[in-house]
This record gives sequence, structure tokens and C-alpha cells, in this order.
Amino acid sequence: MSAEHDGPDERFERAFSEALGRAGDAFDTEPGPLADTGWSYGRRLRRRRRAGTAAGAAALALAGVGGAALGGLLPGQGAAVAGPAAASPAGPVSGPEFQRMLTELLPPGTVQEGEGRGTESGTPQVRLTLDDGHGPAQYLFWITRFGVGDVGCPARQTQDDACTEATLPDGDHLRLYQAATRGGEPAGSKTWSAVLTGKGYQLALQEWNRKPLEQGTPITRTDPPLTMDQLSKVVTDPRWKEVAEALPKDPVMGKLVTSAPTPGPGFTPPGDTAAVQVDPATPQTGPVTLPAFPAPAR
Amino acid sequence: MEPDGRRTATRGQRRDEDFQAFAAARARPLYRSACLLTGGDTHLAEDLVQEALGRIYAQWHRTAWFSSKPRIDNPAGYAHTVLVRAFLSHRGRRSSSERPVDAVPDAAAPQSDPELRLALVDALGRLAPRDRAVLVLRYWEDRSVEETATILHSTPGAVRTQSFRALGRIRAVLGSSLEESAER
Repeated sequence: MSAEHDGPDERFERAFSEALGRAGDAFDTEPGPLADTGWSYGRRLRRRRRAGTAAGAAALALAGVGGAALGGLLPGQGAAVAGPAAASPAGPVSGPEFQRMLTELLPPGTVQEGEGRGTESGTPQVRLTLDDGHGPAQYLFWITRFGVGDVGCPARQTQDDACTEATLPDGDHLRLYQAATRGGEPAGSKTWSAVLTGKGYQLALQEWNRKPLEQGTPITRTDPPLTMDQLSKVVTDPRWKEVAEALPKDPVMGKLVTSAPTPGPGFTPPGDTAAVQVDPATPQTGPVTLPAFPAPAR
Repeated sequence: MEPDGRRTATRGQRRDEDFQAFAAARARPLYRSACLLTGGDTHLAEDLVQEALGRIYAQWHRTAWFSSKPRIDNPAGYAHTVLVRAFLSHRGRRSSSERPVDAVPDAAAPQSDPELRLALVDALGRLAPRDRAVLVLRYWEDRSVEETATILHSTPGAVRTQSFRALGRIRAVLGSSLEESAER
């Protein structure tokens, strides 16, 4: 039926469907880590089933699907991750430890919210909101053994974003991305990220000038806290290589462990890093996005 | 023994590679569905996607032609089914910290597309979970009433009723804004 012959109900249904399409498309994420964690969880499920010890659906769902939402769902949340991790050449790193390792490299300040999961999950991850005195900012950091492939700068260019990439002396690949405000984000939003692709692992640090998981809230500062040089310093710190080596070959899934607000540790200002060419660009899939931020409006 | 072992390993590796390719391709669409289902709770959306992918992996052998169990013909569609069921199961277990499902607050009519998107996601989040699932399946995933009923273990009549009721609630809050947006 053509649009002009639609009744008011059909017109509304069509308008709703179109608006829902736009709303859904505005959510974006980097699929690699999600796929990896799902795979890890699936392998664990299979092992349980084969062993004849499959738990009920509720237990399976809550046993370790990583994510901050669990913090609001589970009573007594904050306990250590269940399940044995396979032996690793380097020692395992717990969620709180992983968070501490990151905050050591960030500007001193107050951690307003923080949660992390460790190497036992296969994809250690930290989310935290830290206020360095210039306004709170959210950080997201993760390491994964199964890289999502080389992350390079996108071919399409825009004047609002900036992307640089470089091959480091040890062969690792570094991409730095400064994303301007996307559709659906508050005015002045900025999302900056660094992705390091090493041998057999990948890590990413993302920072915002707001608390992006609180939808509809305005920006909390003009820029994200770390400059591109500082971001580079954090992601190339040698400690992450050790964490990557501690990732189990056959991980169980972990849940994020929420920490109480604590003062942030000291920060060593990074020095100069090699200058890399800046090319404005529009990402095909946006900068590294875990968990998510809205993609450009279509 | 060794040749058998080698063959098994190869088959397992191939299965894992197939699944990884599938998961990488489907994670983003699943995530978008999950974000709508959760009313914009991106953390919960991640959890649900990971759970759905994990469950699919555990049944991945059923995507093969030689499977001894009923075959999964359309893994992508099935993954979304698993996602919706995981969402409803999650919601069923969640007794506290739920947003009021029927109370949609008065607000100024959203003017811009981004505002409208946020308002729509927020309005979805205030619907009862099953009503939300019906709208997402029908209008985002474009499923028929019958398919939606199967996924939700419900009946076509119940799906029509829920869909009508949920659309009415959205329309009461955002009706004119949505229609104006569609005309722009």
C-alpha cells in the first residue's frame, strides 16, 4: 500500500519503524572483543555439557558474562571471578590489579567509579571514571589475545576527526584516533583512543570528555584528559606485554569487579613520542568502541 | 589412532574458525538489537550478546549438515532468537533496580534527530520487557507476527495485543515527533 493511502495507524507504524532503525543503527561497538568473549563463554559451556555438569540457564548466564551491568544485577557483586584459569607462563592478574596497573599510568585524581576484570576472563578490561580536578572523564581499557586484526586509519576522510598510525621500532602497530562528536552525543563530545597491535595480542585505551554511559548528560570537560602523546605512553608501557602473556590459552569468562572510590595514584608525564602524520578521517566503523558509542548519524 | 585424532582436531579447528567468522560478523547487529531491547543499557547489551554467542557456539555442531540433532538452518536468525530469550530470561531474574515500566514522564517534544533517538530509546526502556521485545522483533528485525510469537513462546493473538498496546504507549509520548521526523 502506498504511503498516501495509509491510515493514521499505518503512518505511525512506518514512522516508528524508521525511527527505530535510526536509533538502532546509532549504537556501535567493536565486534572483535564481543565475539572473543562469546566464544570463550561458549567453549566453557561445551566443556560443562560434555562433563555432564551443565548448570541451569540462570547460573550459566550469570557465571561470568563480563560487563558492568552485572554490577547492578547481582547481590554481593564484587566477589572474585569463579572458575580456574589455565596455567600461564606469567602470573594471572586480577580485575582490581589490572585496574590498579592502569590507574598508575593515568593523571592523579579521584576514581569515582571503577570496575575491572582480570586475565582469567581472556579479555581483561577496565572501565573507570576519574576526576583529575578538571572534570570527570571515563576511560575504557582492554587487552585481548585474539586481535581484531590490524587497526589502521580509515580511508574516508572528514575534517572533524584525526587519525594517525605508526609502526613502532619493535614492530608493534599503533593507531591514535581523535573522534569528534557523533550524532546522539551531547555537544562537544570527544572520544580519543589508542590501539596497539602487538604480536598475538591487542590492547586499546579509550577516553572521553564525559561519562558516556550516562546517556544524555553533557560533557564534563573540554577535552579528554590524556593527550595523544600520553595515550601512546600508556598503551606502550611494557607492563601490558606481561599481562598479555598471562592471558590463559583457554580462558573462562570473568565479571567486572567494582571498586570503591579511591584516590588515583601518581602520574608520570610522558615524554615526546615520534610525530606521526595526521590525516582527518571518518571511520568506517568508528574508533575503537568497547563498549559503545553512537556512530555517525546517517 | 593418530589419523583419527588428527581428523578430529581439524574438524574442531574448522568449526571454531567458522564460528569466529560468524561471531565477528554478527556481533554488531546483535549488539544493536540488544541495545534496543535493553532500552540503551549498553553494558547489559554486551553481556547479552556474549551470552547469545556463547550459547550458539555450544550448539554450533547443529549448523552442520551431518548434525544428529535438528539442524539450525539460519544461525544469524537463530542468534537473535537466543538473544531475545536471554534478554527476557535476564529480565525475569531481575527483581530490583528496574525502571518503572509503565510510567513515561512528560518531556518537551524532541526537536532534533539525535534527541528523538534518545527519547525513543528511553521510551522503549520504560516499556514492559515483553512489550519491548515484541516491538524490536516486529519493527527492528522485521519479523512476522507468527515468527515473533514463536520466538517468545507466545501466540499470534497475544503478540498483536502486545504490539498494539506498546505502540500506543510510544505514540502517546512521541507520536507527533516521530511522524514529523518521518516527513522530513
